[in-house]
Amino acid sequence: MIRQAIYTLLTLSLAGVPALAHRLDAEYERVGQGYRIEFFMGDGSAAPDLRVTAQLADGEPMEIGRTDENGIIQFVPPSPGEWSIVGTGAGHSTARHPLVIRTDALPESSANAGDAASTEHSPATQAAGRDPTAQVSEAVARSSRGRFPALEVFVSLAFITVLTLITLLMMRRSAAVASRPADLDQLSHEVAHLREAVRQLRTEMDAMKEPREAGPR
Amino acid sequence: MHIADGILPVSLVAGGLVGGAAVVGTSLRWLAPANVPRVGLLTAAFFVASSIHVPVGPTSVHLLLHGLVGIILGPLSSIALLVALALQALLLFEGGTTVIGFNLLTMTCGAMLARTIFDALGGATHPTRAAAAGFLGGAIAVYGSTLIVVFGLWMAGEEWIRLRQMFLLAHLPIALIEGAVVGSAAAFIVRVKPDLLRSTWSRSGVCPLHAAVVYS
Repeated sequence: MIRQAIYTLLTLSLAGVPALAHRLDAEYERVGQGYRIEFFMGDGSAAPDLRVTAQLADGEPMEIGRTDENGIIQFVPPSPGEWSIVGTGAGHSTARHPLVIRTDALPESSANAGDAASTEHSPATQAAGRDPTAQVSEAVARSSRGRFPALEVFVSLAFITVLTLITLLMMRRSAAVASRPADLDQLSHEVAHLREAVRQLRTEMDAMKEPREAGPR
Repeated sequence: MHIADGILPVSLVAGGLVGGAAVVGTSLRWLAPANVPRVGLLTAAFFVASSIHVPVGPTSVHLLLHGLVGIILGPLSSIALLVALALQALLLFEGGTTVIGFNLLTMTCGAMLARTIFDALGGATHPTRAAAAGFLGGAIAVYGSTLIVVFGLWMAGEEWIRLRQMFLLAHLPIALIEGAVVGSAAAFIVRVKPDLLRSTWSRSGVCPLHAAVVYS
């Protein structure tokens, strides 16, 4: 039992190794008047087209745009504070481990933009020694959905209801199909078992009869 | 192929949670003790297959194998898929916790599509039929799930139009590859151990509460 548990744990941990390579992560560095934020997967590949939001601890999330094909976006904090940056898209999100940028004062003026001395890196960037010169995407204004919410709710619920019913119907159908051969197999197995038992009983009865018939003679 | 938290509208998220609960509750009614190891094995297969990513253009795609899960587990598929999706959301931050209902419905519907096609074409009767039915079922499962995700992204707003197009294009080759994988696996199973595809469900099912307590 203990051995089985150890094997199971080992197998699951081995299975997790390639999986961890696809975790979404982010780094930042201060360049000029803003911050250059780079999103990347666990294997180092870029994470393009993510929707990126910034939020102060006591504020509402503010959409700052989308990452470009290199997974990069520029962020200029509108006010000092502790900003939590979250990237979301394509089934991945950093919502559980957001990138935190602390700004004590407003970013420097544009006159100092590009000054190498003012460049500040996140700890991970410093450790990796990444090249700070990279393409920066423009922030995309948040698009308004512009739909009547009641219609959206109706369409959503109707879609989910139909999807659930179709799935349940297919489940019932497959259960019915699967059950027939299984039941027939079980029934035929039981009939064969009963036949064998009857045959054995007959043999035993014959064996008991033989000494009786032979005795009086 | 999952949607992360914060993308879908609340109505779709809430509806997905209710629909997902209904599907899993129904599956638990059919869960018998003999099937628990099989469910665990397919959970691991789905979890690992979803974690190996192949770069396609600006994004990456991965095998799903939910078609194979559906063909082998049938009505028990949602249990395996729920566990795997929950592990992916909690350990790898793939997908999301609030949208797990919608993601589960997406995957389970694809899995049951594969099983329905496999049964309709008589896949369990002969290895050649199994290969053809498995290929068709596996491929349609992938693209069926893709269409559901694309609908979810359409509901999420126009800002996801690029991702929708990317999803539709990137999953075309994946559907074909997955069809080949599922077809090969199904043919092998029919040749070696056909009972694996036939004795999925037993009439001696247990009640949902009992199953949840004993087999969780």
